[in-house]
Amino acid sequence: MVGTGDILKFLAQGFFYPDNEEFIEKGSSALLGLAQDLKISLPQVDKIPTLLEHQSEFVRLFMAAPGGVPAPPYASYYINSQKLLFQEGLEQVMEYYQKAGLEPASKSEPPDHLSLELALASHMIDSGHFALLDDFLHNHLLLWYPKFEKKLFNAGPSWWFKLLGQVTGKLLKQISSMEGGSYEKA
Amino acid sequence: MRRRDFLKLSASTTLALASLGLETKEGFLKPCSTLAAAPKSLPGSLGAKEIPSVCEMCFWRCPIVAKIKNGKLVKIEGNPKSPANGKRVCARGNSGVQLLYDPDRLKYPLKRTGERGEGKWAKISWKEALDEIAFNMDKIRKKYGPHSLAFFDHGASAEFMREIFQALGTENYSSEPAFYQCVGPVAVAYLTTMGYVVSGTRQYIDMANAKAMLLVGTHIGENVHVSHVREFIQGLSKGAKLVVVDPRFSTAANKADIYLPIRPGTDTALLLAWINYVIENKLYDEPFVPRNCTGFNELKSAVKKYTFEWAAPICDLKIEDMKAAIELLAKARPNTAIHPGRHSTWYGRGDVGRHHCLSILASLFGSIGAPGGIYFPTPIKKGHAHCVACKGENEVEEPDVSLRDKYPFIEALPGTPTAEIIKATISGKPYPIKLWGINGVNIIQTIPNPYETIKAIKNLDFIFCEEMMPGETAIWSDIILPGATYLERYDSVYTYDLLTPYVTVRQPVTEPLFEVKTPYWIAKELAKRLNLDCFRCGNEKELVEEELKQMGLSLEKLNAEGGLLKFKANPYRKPDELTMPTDTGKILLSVPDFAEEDLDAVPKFVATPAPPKGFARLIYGRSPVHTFSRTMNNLWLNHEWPENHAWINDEVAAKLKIQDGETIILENEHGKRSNPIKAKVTPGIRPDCIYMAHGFGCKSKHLTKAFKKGASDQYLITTYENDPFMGASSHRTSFVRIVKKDVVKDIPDLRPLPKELPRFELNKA
Ligand code: SF4
Repeated sequence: MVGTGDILKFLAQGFFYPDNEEFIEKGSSALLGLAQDLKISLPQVDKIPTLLEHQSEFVRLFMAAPGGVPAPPYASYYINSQKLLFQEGLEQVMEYYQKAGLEPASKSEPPDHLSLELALASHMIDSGHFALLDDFLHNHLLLWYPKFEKKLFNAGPSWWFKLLGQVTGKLLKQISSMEGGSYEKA
Repeated sequence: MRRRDFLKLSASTTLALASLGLETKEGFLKPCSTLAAAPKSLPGSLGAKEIPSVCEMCFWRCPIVAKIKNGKLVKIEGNPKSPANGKRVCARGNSGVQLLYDPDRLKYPLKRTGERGEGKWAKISWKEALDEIAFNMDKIRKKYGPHSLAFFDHGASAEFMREIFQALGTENYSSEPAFYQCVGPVAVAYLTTMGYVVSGTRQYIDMANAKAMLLVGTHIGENVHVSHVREFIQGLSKGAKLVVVDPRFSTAANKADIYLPIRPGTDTALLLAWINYVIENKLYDEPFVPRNCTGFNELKSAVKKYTFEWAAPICDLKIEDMKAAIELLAKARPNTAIHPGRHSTWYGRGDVGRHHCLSILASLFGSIGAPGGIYFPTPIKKGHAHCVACKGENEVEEPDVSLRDKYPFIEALPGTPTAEIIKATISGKPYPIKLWGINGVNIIQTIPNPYETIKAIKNLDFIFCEEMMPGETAIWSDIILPGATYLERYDSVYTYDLLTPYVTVRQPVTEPLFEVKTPYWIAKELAKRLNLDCFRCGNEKELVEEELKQMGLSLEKLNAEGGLLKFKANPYRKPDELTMPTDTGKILLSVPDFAEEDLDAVPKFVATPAPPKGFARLIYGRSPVHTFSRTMNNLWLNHEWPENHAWINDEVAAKLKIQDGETIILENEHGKRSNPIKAKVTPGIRPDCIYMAHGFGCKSKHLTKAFKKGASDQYLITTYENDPFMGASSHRTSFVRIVKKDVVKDIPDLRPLPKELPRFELNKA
């Protein structure tokens, strides 16, 4: 059975640097399916990107590009008046990691990277920490995700990343609009 | 409805997600072992942990203390233990925080996926990046020979990579713009005449104790190095007189007792006339000169012809002003600080001669070894880490025709002139150069004629760089290695040998962020792949410990002392005990070795071409809050000084109907045009030149805050000549006129040009 936690894991993977062709192929079907299930209008899909195309687009959107990184995937960039990295946004999320008893497995990205934050939300769902999840979504992730999503769209992303952004946005909104524990008990 | 599965997935979506095997994939998270949430703490930097280190926002390397709270760098201050800067850092030193956390910085190894220079990248692993660089170095070396590899380097981050290029046997293992675009001529002049580099990275000039000072085109205060500026201010506050020679009314000129607004390109004429006047009027130090100098008689007869009457029309100065200035300087001897200058690559041919003149003047005043004059470094014996040097292929075998051959006084210096590497890369002569490595320097914004540099890059089989920010040069690379900033690494033990000697160490204030790696790690991994036995210390910390051990120190001991240990200075010498580190033990007023190479034993005035009709000479300088083109993207510094301005003489502006603050474009003698730049209309510049601060006009779209801000002087310097002593490239040999609303406006000729100064010939441009 595939649950919400798994969907978030998939989205977390989608926002991580792509390193295998299979994920793009299979992930395309998953993404299109999720969009349909979430009633997001489907884009014109002419082709599935190759690994190199997908990597180049990823770097352009999130890592290094003429005009600057269009959509930095870090909470600190948005939750900080100077748009610096490693600032308040990171300090906020650290508290949630600590409460969940977790930390990023690798140091190649700061803990407030979108992938890691989605993975953290996934863990909260899988382990039933719904009150913490509510707090995390309302008081952290959803404070910055919409700004990130807007920047992503403005950068004219490939259909894959545009849909990834839309699916993530809609899913997070839906999860956050549910009333925590009571639903779980129902 | 349950949150775990509230979304009703279609069968096909479920199947697609299930096929990804997400549950078996290695997770992004693990149980917490080290992360701690930020405790509620005191505001600002109060209660922060302090780590002593060394600044590298510029090359001056002031000792600093980094303040860390919850693992985050919150503030940088000067190290209070430092006798040179104390708690002070400059604006750039403060802004290291913004370099570390700049969202535009390079975070991962990148490989080019589009055309060179297009700015399209894929992220690759360190393994792939280093494998590919090693493969290309090896392949190109085998195919074209060792000299086909060239390395452009700058600063502490480049030291280890330089070892690799040297071990691979290329004579082009170092090509430092800091030398060939900056200090080369002054270093050669003083090394030859006084036996040591009175001015290279640092200047051994005792301004704090001077009774009079001379600055020729030196912009202290705009060119900010904390201890240097402090000494200048100390000298002035104790009553030192100041003479400033500069075509522009600089910050230093603002403090001058006598300001001489000289015609650009004629400084040597003034200096020679002064030398002649000092000799003729016996203003020199009579016991000092015969005892400590050689070549006085040759000097005396060679400069006889350079009178004030001859110099006045050339320099466009009044005789009485020239005379008053030299008398003021002579009166203070031997406590006269004749500043040797630093950036000296101005006109090519006459550059060594100009600094030779400054060295002569200081010597005639007997101010060598005297308080307030040129002093001697106090060397602190630094330990040597044996684990760094490469074993085996360390000897560089010279090629049949070397790129260094043309330059007789390059011998004592490492490396190859940048201009020669670029020419050989384009022409393939005298041998092909097919691979460039670049570390710590944005060569496109540093070397004259970037159009030629880019042409050479297009000719290469492979180019890689190690960088922190995606500047112009990084964008032209095939592979970019993201290097650790100075706040994320150890560097070799640092000794300061000026008036307040000390030893200190750069140490990391945070782990390297993202996937960046330290220069030592990068070099060690690359050396392994090239089968070079080079870096035997496990990491840079071991290397530093090895160096400190030989000084009877350790990091622990040094940190217990606040990260810095002071030593007693020994800067002065009595005139009758003076022994110079030259072959003869004396100062060479006339240099016979120069004559042997058909160069001038005693400097001569050789006119550099004056601006062609309708043009002004382009001159440039520094912004006090920026370091070359390196800091323009730093948010705080960018807020302070986002763009440069073109200084235009008010009379010229009035004739051309240009208002202060109006946006114009500059066009050079080759028709190259600048980015739009605002005019600063001022009487504080001569009518025959236009000035701008260097380093602006960024062309890298990856630098969001710096891109297109102001204009680049470098892109307007397309005429240059090479200094015949050591091959440095000139930078003040290009000319500009103004374009306003697409109309080209010729610069009016407001100052008469004497016959001794021929104009630059436009048809030869
Ligand atoms: S002068 Fe300023 S930028 Fe340079 S090392 Fe000192 S503090 Fe740093």
